[in-house]
Amino acid sequence: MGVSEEIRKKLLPRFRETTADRVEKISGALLELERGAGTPEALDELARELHTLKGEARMMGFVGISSVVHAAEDLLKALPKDSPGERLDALLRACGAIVPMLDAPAEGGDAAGKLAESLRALIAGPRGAPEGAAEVSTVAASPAPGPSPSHASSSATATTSTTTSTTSERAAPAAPAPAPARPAAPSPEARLELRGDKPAASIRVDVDRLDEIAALAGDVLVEGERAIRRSRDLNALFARWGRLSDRVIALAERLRDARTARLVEQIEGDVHLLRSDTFRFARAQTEAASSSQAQFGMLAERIGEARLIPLSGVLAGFPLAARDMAREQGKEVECVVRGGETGVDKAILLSLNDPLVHLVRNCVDHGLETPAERVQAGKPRAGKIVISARVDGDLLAVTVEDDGRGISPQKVRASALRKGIIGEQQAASLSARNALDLIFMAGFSTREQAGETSGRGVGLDVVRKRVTALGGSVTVESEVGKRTRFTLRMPQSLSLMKVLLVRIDEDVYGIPAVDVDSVGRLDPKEATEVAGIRAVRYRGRLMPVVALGPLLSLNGGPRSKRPLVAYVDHGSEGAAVVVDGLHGEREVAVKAPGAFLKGMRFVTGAAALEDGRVALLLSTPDIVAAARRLASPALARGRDRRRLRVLLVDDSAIAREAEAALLRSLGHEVDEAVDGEDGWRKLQTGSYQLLVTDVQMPVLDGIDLTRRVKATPRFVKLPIVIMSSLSAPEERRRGVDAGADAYIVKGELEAESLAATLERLCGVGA
Amino acid sequence: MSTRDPFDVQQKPKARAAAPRAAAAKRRNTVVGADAARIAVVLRGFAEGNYDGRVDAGAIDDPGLRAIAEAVNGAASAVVEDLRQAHQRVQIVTAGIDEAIEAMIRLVIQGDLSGSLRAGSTDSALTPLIAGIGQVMETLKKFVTETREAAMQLSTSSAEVLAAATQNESSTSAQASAIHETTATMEELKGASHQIAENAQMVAAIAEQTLSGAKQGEGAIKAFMGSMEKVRHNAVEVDDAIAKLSKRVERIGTVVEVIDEIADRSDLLALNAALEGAKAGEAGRGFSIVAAEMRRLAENVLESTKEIKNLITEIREATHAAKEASDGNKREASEGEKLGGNAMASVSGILSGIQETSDAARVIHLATQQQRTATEQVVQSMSEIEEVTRQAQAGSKQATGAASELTKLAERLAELVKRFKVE
Amino acid sequence: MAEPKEAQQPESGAQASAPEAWFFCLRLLGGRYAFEAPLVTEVVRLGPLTRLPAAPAFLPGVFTHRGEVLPVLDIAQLVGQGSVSLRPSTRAAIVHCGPWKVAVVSDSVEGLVAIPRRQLEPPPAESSGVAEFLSAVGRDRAGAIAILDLPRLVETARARAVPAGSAAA
Repeated sequence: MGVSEEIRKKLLPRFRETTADRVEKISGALLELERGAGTPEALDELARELHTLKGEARMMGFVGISSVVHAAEDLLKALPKDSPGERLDALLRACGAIVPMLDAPAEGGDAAGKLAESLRALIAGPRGAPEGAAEVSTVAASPAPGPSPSHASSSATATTSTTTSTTSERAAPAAPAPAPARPAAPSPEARLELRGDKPAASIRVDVDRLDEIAALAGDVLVEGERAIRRSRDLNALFARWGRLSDRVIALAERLRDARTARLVEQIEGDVHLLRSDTFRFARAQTEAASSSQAQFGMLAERIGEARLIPLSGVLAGFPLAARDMAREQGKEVECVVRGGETGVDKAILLSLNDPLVHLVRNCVDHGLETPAERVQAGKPRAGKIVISARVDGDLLAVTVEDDGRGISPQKVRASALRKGIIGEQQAASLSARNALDLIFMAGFSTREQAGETSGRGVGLDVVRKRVTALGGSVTVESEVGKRTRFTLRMPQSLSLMKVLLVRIDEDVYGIPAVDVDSVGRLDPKEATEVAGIRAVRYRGRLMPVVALGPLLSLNGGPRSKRPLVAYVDHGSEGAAVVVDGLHGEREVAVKAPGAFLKGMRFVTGAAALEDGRVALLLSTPDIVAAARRLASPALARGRDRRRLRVLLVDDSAIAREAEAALLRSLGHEVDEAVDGEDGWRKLQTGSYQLLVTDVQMPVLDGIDLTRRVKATPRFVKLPIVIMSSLSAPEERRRGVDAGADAYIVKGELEAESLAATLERLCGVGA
Repeated sequence: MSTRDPFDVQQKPKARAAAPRAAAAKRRNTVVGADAARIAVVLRGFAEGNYDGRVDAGAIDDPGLRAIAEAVNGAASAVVEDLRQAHQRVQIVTAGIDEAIEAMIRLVIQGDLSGSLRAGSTDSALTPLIAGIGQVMETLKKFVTETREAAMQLSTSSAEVLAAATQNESSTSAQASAIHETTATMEELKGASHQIAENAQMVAAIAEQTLSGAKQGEGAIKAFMGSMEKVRHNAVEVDDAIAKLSKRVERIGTVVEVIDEIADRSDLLALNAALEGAKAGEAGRGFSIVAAEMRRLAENVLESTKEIKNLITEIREATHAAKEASDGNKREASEGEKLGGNAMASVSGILSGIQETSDAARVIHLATQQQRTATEQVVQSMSEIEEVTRQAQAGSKQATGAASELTKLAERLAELVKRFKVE
Repeated sequence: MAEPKEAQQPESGAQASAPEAWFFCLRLLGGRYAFEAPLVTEVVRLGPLTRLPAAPAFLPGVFTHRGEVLPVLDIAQLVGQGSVSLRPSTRAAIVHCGPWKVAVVSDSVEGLVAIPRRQLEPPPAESSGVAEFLSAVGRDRAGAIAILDLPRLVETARARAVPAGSAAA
């Protein structure tokens, strides 16, 4: 090897990049040659590039690449001027093989050797061994396993066995179309394949096993964190021991006399020695812990990378499938895939397939017009569908865009109304964006009849559900008559994710860091009330303010006046989420929550913390949706309600404001009290028609307040609603026993249910 | 007082009228002898007071002489006439004077000076007399008044003198009795100091005894404190022992915890082993039995550790109680020491007190002796004083007598003066 | 007194013919309950719990074991008859029911008991509370044991925790 491992490691990414560029350049030049447009200068350039490539590869230790390039160089020199076709083909194929080899073991294995040999064989005679070219291209309809996506190899047996079995459980794959495209291959439609040889430069590893390794690596990472913590503790212990040894020495000094002098000296010497040894050990231990932690981190990252599979494995089949689908409907389509080289987690890749298939079908089915319509609208006959993938921070964003008729919010609204998904007033109050969002509702389909291609029970609601389950989101934008764009966002990898750790009560939860815009303290002065919703203006945008604890039906909830808040973003929506504590941003190894919890609201995964606890990772879409629901005013119905004078008793300022906002949004007049005693006082002076109280409060709690009120003849008819974060049945019983007329759990607090309760208690409403 | 003054006033005018006539006769004698002689003879008679003689004026040839003789005859007749008239007037005046004097005497005899003198005659010649008498009366009145006042003053003064004398006398006698008493007291004092001297001697003796007793007490307290310190020291040792014991017990507790943990893990392990055995079916049966056995063992251990833990708790409680007791001992010992110290302090206070008392008693004894001597001297002096006082007392008695005489006199004088009526 | 005899007899007989079944026995709701031992993969000490958001009370939280995130299932809460008090020393039996893996907590774990299948009797015909999930009643030396139909129980728990339709198929 030319360079030290360390330098190599540093240079490797650069090398990969430049090599890809070089290969592209070389391929371009070869194509020029093929067209007969090659000049002697171009040929020289080509030779130089090859030579440089060979040198770099050798230096970086890519022996395989080096040998292949070396053979190519020789072949190029021996290139006959007249009919270079076949040899040029071989050179082009070799070029195509080089990039994948970058990710394969350095020596390149047998495949490299054979490739080099086949090239050399061509120098000797015009014809090599014409082996079946087609078989390779049909192989990889699904992603290749293992760290090396060397599609050229026919590791298909193992691959398909894992993937197809998984996919077949789900909806049928998009199309049985061949997926010839190779990641990072210079020309996507090139039907290049390596003739018959199998570059077994990779080890076939079952993806599940790799996942296990990744999970273990994640655990090891946590273990490393724990080791660092332990070494900190160890240092503290040693510091204590150091102080003690000082005292021991001082004592020995004091006790020293003629008889014991020797012994004291000995003891002193021993103590000093022992102390310096322990400190040396402690230092070494600390260093070791932190360096191993760093290595564990690298290990986890590498394994995470190794698990990433190029999206092209899924995307490559789409152009053909789209064309076939369109043809069935008499439509024409040109489907373009961009960013196929983007790597994603296997689990993501597998889960992404169905939603993408559905979206593409949706484009073809609903989005694109017939050629006639298109021509009439002044568009090209053939519709265009662009599937593009890119990495946006930690997130993978995949868009599916068509230039079809777009989606009309009005039609969506009407259709939703007809299907009873929404009420009339609700429909009237929906914004265009929110109306578009209706297409993700279960049971929604704008087509009256299920089409051939889409609408077979798998609706956009399933798409959303799938993506959300991966911790992602799906949004839609549309311009009527011009285009529709669906954007899927999800973590690129499920194994490692940056999360913001927040504390609620004693427990720690994670929010994907990409969704967190910023954190800070909520100044009550900055919070405003807009249409009965408590909101805060944040970067020019109004965000509803919600306390995460109650939102998740967990206890806790900050008692601070200026609580900590995380501004969470999800697509076009956001929320200011109030938490009890912030534990910083951390890259965590994400674990699946397990089959039993799969699909549970709010939970997308879990991560082990160094103290042995679990941080549950929360779903941003769920949080935002719940926040919106909590904050959404039922104003539409509120108009024809009777206005009630309500006394609201809650010691938490945040909870109180949220509840007051909710009550006000229902059209009621709200007075607030900060504890039971305060409430009792206010009750004496004002004439209220309803008392809403929290349970856990200082001075006088809600239960005692309820008892007191119900024991007073004046107030015996005053309806009391207890709103508490305590959801246990015995808590409810306690509330009802005290005389409460209703018991609402804060996490379940929603405008509709509250309105229903008030209706029941006070006869308000129509 | 003199009664001559009014007469004096009566004689002066007579002398004044005689002198010019004598002078004229002499001068005629010189001019004409014989005739003149005859005229002289007549004139001499005149001079002798014989106004009856006349010169025959016809007889005398000389005209001058004759005119003289005629003038002498005329003069003699005028003089006779004048004389008669003067006589008459003298009679009247005399009567007036007599009357006045009579009145005055009467007034004086009666002592009434208040009224004024009424003149029976209006003769102007009497006016000076009456005025003089009035003046005399006035003077008299004034004199009486002054006398009266003086008498009164005298009376008062003499009364005062008497009072003073009496006072003097009584105070002198009081002094005498006081001195007598003092002397008696001094006698008593003499006896008392003797008593004191004796008592002081006794106190000194007692103090001496007490001192030795207190010294013994001091020794006893010192011994007590020594034993208290020992008690405390013992308590500290007990404390140390207890502390060591509880430390060991804590260590046992730690070890038991470890054992507990191991047993708990063993229990789990055995449980899981049993599960594995069960999965292995019939082949795992023996395995399961062993696992169950192991579990029972672990449970036994857990039970034992529970017992040990209970024991530890008991020991902990016992050591705690022992610690409490030893703390109590320590507290009491130090309390005792404190009390001993207090007693010691009191005893040394007492000791020094007694010492002082004894010293004081001795001083008192000495002082009383000196005092006795002094008292005796005082008694001696006192008796001398008494003698003098007695003399003084007699003197003052005499003085009182004189003063009272004087007073009586003054009173009589005042009485006398009172008889004059002045106003 | 007759009990040991009774218990021994089938045991000797079982060796010959009828297979004995192992049951995993635990104390719950003041009684002895058991379920098929093969469902239990492991018994562990309950780690520190993290509460599940918007979860029913019978799922008090999750913890990790061997790198896996496991939900804790409190059967007592599920059947609405009290709750298990969770301590660090509480034993959790990790059970595998179909696709689901949960940690079942109980007041204490008794261990494995072997009861011949023949001796199992049908449960009383009640259908309230825990009786709903009983599959049989058996006896051993220590007395009666109620056999739980754990798969059904877990299934019910899952259905209640994640209402059908909200989960991605």
